Amino acid sequence: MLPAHFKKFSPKKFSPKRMSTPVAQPSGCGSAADVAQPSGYGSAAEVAQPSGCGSAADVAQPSGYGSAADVAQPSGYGRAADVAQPSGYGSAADVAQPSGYGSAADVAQPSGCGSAPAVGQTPWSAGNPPVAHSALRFRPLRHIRTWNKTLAVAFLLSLSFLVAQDPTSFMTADVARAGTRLACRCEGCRNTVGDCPMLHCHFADPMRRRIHDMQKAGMSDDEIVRDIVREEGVVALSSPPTSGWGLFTWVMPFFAIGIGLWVYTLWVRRNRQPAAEAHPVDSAVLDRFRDQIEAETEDRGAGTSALAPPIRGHKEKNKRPN
Amino acid sequence: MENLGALSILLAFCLSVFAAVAAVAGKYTQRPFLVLSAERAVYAIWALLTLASGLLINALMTGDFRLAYVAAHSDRAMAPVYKFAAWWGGQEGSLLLWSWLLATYSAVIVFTNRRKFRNMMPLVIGVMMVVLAFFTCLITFVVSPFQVLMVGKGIVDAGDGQGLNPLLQWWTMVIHPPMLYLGYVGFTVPFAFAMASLVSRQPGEAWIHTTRRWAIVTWLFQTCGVTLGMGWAYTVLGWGGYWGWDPVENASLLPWITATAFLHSVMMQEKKGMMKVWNMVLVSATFLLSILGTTLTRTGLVSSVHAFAQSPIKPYFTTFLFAALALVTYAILVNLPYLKSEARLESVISRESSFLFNNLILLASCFAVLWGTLFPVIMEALTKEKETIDAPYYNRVNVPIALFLLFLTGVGPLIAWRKSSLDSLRRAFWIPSLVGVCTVVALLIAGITHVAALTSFGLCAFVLSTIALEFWKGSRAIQAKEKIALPHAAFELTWRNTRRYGGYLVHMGIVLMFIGFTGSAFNQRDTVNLGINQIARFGNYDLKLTNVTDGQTDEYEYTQAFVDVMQNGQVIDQLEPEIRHYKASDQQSSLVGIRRRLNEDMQINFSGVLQDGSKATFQLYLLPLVSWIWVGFAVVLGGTLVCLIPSKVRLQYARTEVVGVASALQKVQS
Repeated sequence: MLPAHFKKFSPKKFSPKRMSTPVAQPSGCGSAADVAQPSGYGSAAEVAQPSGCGSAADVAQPSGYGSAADVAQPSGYGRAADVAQPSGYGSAADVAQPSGYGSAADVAQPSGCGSAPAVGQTPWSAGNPPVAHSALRFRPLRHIRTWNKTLAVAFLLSLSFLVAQDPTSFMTADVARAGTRLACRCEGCRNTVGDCPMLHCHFADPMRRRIHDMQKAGMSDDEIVRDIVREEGVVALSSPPTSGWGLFTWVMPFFAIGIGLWVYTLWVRRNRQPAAEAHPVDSAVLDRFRDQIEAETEDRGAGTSALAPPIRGHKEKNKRPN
Repeated sequence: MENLGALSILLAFCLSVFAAVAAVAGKYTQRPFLVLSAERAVYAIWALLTLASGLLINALMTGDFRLAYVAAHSDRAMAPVYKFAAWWGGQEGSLLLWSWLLATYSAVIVFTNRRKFRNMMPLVIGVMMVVLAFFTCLITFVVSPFQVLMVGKGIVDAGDGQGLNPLLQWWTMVIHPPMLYLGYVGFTVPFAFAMASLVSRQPGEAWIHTTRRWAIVTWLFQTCGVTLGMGWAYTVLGWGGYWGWDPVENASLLPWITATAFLHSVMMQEKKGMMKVWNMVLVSATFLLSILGTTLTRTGLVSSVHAFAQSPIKPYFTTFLFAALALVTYAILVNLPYLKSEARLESVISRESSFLFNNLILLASCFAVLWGTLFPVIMEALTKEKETIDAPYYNRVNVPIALFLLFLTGVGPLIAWRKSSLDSLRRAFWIPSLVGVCTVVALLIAGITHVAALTSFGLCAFVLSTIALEFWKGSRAIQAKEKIALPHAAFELTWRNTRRYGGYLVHMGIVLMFIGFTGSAFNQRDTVNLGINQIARFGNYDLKLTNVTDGQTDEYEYTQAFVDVMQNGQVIDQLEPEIRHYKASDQQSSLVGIRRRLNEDMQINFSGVLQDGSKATFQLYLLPLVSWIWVGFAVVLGGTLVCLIPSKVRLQYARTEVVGVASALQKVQS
């Protein structure tokens, strides 16, 4: 279909990044490495740098996907870069958790198989040898100067003991109970912190840990929720508060039903035109008429159902002469 | 090629403006040739937009990656069906699809009515062409699907494209958006007829008779679209659910609710000549909510998973929406005297009254969803304070409303038109009520104490038995008369009045879906880490990870886990959840392992592998009764198709007409 002179535009590989906005970030550590890794994977190394400029990773992954944590996630939300968000939790400490919180932990593994195993390398897999997954293969830290690398490893090792557990383990019944009152604002779901189903959710996980810590400090659910709302506003709540504007939100649908009912009664009162009162008839007579109606309608070939409520409709007409 | 595509869209825009003006001018200046010219313009528009769509599809199929749209939404390795689906995979293409569908509908309407409704058709064309002009304007001037990538920026290498979002590479996603669009766009037709009849002050219900089938078919498309979307979310997203109250999901639900209300209340106008204003309001609301739905989907007005990023078309959509709202309101208010009811309500216990209640409750639930979706936006604009409205709000508000609606589903169809006596009510309802109460008692004894679920199950049993009784009574009567077998009699019964019994089938399907929804009260979930040959206990099952393998295709790399599902030591099933990494888009997607059974589904989502590579992480879900949603949907589909089949017996409605009002109307007409 294409004219011949257009064909020459197509053959070579074109990095998708070139289409999405800025990639190269001249300043900032690690950005050189980013540019060198067009796939966006393996950029965990940058996050792990002691200088803590996790934001470089943000820039490096314009698509927002692709860090090791994502490998563990079906929906692909929640990049490691977000761990570095300024909201308090997160930043380098989170990144450093070896338990799968952030990809950075991989750096601590000298074997260099950090993020890859999820897809790229399954040590136990029987049969076929692992296929090389170029996009997922862990990129060693060759782009970073040696002292930097050393520092990174030391930094990670020093932090790794902080949380040596799986992030799912914060999901205790207590945390879930308090968590259902807080919204998961990961933009990927409309769930609460207590029941967000995404593993390694970049919002719910840190929030769960925060709740966990607060509960450990002896705070009640109410206090936890109040503290978090005081810091972040009512936006933190999973459903609107029962005061102020929030109450308005809750009441409005039922208020609308009320208005509807009121309009309905008004309408009925204005439009009502009672039918002539039927005389009471005993059921034997009624049954006889019902049979007769059925017989007549059937004979004519029209179903008993020709009229939506035919039997009763005719019945009332028929009983008047009685 | 792209020039030809862009040109044909531009021409389509010009012609739709011309058709709108010519049709209306032709009608009011009594120039039939102008109207005829407008009708031909409609066909021409259809041809032009078909050409444009064909060019875009061709570019997608052949991989013309110079086009920004093609490069952003397809890649060379994609299966042809997904290359085709990329037509509506992005904003520009989906707006083109919308325009093309509307053009198709318009052409069909113009063709089938070329000798009917001569008085009304110019206005119908006018309304449809104004809407089409808006959409073609967008794809001509604002978001053209034929934008060439980086013209004059020195890029000569167009690569292989970024590929369609992997989450969308799933068979239901190929038919879900077109289905929804067929439904959304389709409601423009009843709306156009309603507006035409209103503005031209046509007496009677011509527009309703003409558009009844349209309304039912488009309602069916919407139902299919929404349910396919649920099925997609359930099968692909792997979060153990099917409805997340995301703004865009809500947007697809809103017009469906008002369309449902419209399908019910329209019967009042058809049979009794009542509710004329109300039907106008409902059909307009459905149309406007469809536009609102598109606004939400396409402009990022509210934050949502589905919405595209902030887009330049937002002001256009908002303007169009408010202008349409103002015009419709004005048209209805001005013509109020022509919408006088022809009959009066005789009793509060009557079919009329139950329809009113049904409408009231449907609208209330529509309002609750709309309110939850839009209020945070309004509030942020007013108070600069953000608020989150998540699933708990919608569930808490909508569950009581839905339960009441379920109750009405059972009661409404059995109440007589005009007036029902308490005696007849008692006769009709004592058996279903008994069944409902027995169900609740049985479930209580079985240990279920969830109040909403108990109520829902009780009501479902109640409604199902009212429907079964209706079929039973009617079939028995026919069986006795015609001396045929009961199933044959039931078939005969349905055929004699397809609308009524098809309607019952639709109700039955909805009830079955409600059974499925209620099952979500008993969902269980867990997250486990399993090494090879390790076993985890979940519900009544034991799950054993037997193997994990890797591999790749042209499009993606994958890791697949094999999990044996065991019960009492016996392997009863094997699930194979999978993680995929798509090369072109550099995105991940997972294929959830699902074991579907009527009593409960099991979902296993392979989430990844622990850092040390020793164990794989799985998210497990037990979802009781979910399958009934899909069963119910099949019944709804069948029932709606039954409704569309003409009845064997031509029906005569015992319509109450008030002579005085009718003659007054005629006077007004002359």
